[in-house]
Amino acid sequence: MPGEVADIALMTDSLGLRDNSSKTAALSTASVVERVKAGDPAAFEELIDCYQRKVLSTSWRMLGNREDARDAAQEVFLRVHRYLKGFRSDQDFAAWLYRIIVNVCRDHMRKRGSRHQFASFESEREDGTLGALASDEDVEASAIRSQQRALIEEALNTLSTKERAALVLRDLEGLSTEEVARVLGSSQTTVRTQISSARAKIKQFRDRVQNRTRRG
Amino acid sequence: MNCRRVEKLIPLYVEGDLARGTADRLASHLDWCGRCNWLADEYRESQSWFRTSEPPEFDEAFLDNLKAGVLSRTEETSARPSLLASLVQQWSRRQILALSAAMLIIFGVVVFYIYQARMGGRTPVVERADHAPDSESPPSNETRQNGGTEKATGAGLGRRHHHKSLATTKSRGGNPTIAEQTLDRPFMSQTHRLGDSATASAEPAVLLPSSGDDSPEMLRIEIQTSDPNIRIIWFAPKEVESPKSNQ
Repeated sequence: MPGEVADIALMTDSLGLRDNSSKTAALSTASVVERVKAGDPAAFEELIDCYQRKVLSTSWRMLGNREDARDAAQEVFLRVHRYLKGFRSDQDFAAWLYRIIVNVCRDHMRKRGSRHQFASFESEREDGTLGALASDEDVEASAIRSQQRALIEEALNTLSTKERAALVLRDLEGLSTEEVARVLGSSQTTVRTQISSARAKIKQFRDRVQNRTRRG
Repeated sequence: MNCRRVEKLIPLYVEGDLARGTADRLASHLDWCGRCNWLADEYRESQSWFRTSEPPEFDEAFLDNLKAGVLSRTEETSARPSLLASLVQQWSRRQILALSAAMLIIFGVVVFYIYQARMGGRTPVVERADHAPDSESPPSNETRQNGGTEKATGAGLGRRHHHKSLATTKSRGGNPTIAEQTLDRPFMSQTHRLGDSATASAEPAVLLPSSGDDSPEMLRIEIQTSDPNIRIIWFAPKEVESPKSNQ
């Protein structure tokens, strides 16, 4: 059993799901999970510290804005807290957590419906996404980054929910096709089809944007 | 491997998602096919553009806020007192309002239905049992032939008018019958008004006078329930005449 626990910790770290914070880097995911399951509230806080940035960034990639990402991340950790007792030691914690993230984001997208808005540079600046901007160059660079983010978000919105999940996990989160298939509960062939279609749509969107820019 | 097949596989090829054998064959195709090679470059550029997507920075305050929110909600969950309270906590204000409105509407519909049923069920129908067999249509037959609202409204009105004229004829003869007496009773006039309104589902009062000297002196009383197919009928002895003497 301890060997299995160590394997899970290695697998989780190899998937890059854990935050690389100096404070939490030394924590073994498996031992934290075991402590949370035993009812240790401090261990759950450690788990949040370990994974919150990654959960937030994945949720942001799935949903496209900060507030939705925060709501989704909260729901993810609540579900982790609720269902961790049913988590078996021989399971892959990272895949389990990714599955929760994807499901929560799908639910969120369904609820949100058509009232989604892209985060503009101004709104990001207002809500503190860009942090403190020291100089005019910082402001300009931030504006460019923000515009880029909005464009990519717009491109992601041309995809179906399944395509988006597959592409985010494969291309932005860096999971292998096999891992994506495991997280999404699909076959590798299905995932490859979704990824191929999604990449084609992203390219089409980029081509359209480039053509518009050239004409403009 | 032809160009059409290569075009389909390029999105997977550029990120190394193809099996080695397929990828090798596709690479050899790209070596000599300029158009497919150009398409592969386009996909590579698109992918590198897409990968520039960086999530925004989440500062410590934002993370603390998230953590505090999660911890407070987990505490609420663990300290949840009852199922009802937990449901209410999970629902938003809008959902609670919608549920309350729905419950109010259901309650109103139930009350209205009960009120209608009670009003309809109380309307009595009084009829002489000793009407002639050759009269226009006996009430029992009418009950069987006509069903529902039509009988309770139009048919009832016509019949009431007919009986009134019959009663008048009898009284001219100086020998008033039970039907005449009953017609003058206050509750009968009330049912007459109900019938005129033509809205109640119940049968209005119907009175049949004695049509001949050979008829037995019995009073047939019918009460139409809210169900148009159910009518309560009973026979009363002639003593019903006694209220006449009181008046």
